[in-house]
Amino acid sequence: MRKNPSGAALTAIADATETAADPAAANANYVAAMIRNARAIAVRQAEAGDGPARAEEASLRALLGGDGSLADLNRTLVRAIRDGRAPKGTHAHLCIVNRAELAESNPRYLARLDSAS
Amino acid sequence: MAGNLTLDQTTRLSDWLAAEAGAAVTILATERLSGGAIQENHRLEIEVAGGPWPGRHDLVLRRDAASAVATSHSRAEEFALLKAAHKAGVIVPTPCVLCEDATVLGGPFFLMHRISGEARGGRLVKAAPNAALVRELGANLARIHSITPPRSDLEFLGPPPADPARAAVAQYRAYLDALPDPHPAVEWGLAWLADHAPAPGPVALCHRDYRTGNLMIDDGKLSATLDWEFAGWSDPLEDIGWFHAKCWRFGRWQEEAGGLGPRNAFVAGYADSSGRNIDPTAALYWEVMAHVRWAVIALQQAWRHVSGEEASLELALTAHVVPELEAEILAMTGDAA
Repeated sequence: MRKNPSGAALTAIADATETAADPAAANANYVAAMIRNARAIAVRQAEAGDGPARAEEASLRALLGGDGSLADLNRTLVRAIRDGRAPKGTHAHLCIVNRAELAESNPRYLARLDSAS
Repeated sequence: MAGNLTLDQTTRLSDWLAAEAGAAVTILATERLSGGAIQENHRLEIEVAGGPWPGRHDLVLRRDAASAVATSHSRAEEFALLKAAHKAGVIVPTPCVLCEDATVLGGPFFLMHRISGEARGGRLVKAAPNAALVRELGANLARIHSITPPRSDLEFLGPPPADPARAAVAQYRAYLDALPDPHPAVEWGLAWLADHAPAPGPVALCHRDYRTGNLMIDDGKLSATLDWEFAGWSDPLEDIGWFHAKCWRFGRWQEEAGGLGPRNAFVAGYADSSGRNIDPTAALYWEVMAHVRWAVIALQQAWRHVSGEEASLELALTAHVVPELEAEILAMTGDAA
């Protein structure tokens, strides 16, 4: 499940930061890099659309044998993990979801992990 | 109270310093230093006309920033920690004086010697691997861990936890429960930590943020251990795990000691100074804990932005570091939580 803030909210804070930024500030390069990063994440999320969420939801339904919203299914999984009754396949499911999130938040990190393995 | 020192504040500070020094004090220069979301640092150059501290002094004045958080130590507490660490031989800026009189600068502050060097992790990991430095960092951490409870000067740290690992798991679960979104990968890590918790051992003073980025390095040598605001009693392995965690290597994964050098040099320095060998399996447990802890903190920081408490791109982006941490948690714990 995408971390918040995502998509439009991320773009909004990047835009607001850019408007308020002082180009002469000592940390101007750092701020500019953050703005680029936020926009790049938002673009990758827009390109992926709701495909990752639908895939995660389907995987959770299969894993838990239940129904509900993506957030509710994840809450059910969290409770199961904490209670020591995580269904078989939970780790594999979490790894797949994590790869989809990394592909949006930091694809270079994902590529580096893949090349190291 | 955030911002540059005003003329009135500088005058009051000068008067207060003169009373402390027992001699006239001239403030030659002040400058707000960069960084410090929770604390504010100002460079302070003074000349003391006589008394016990005559001459010029290059100092740092440390006080709360506007965004100070309740979980970090107060300036008085941080000053006490610095004094204890300095006395134990830890490489820290020499603490000078504490002022708790709010009429001087609007809140408590303390002065310490200014230390030169580089603390930015991204820059430090670009240097050649430095086994001697890493060994020194191990020895320095061992000196922090030589401070053990009970300590009347550190009473504010509260009683030491009976079981630091299980206490941490309980605390991070509570923190996750306070957030609106579910985070099953972090929860998976916590389940692994609960299942694999070591038997409680001796507790010592832990810095709890001892890592590249909080260590000032000058000419390849440690010049200061910074940022004591999260220090507390814990299992010393918590600091060792935090220092070695992949998330604090600033991308230089192969140099396992904070991206600066080899792990075995750190372990040797620690053993030389403390007489204790680090159990690698136990240290690995605390590296998992480090990733979980950083993930929980990152989610809390992002929530400060999402909730409207503090609009900040930096906080917002912290949420998008979490998948990297989750990847490491899942890789380290495997399919057997």
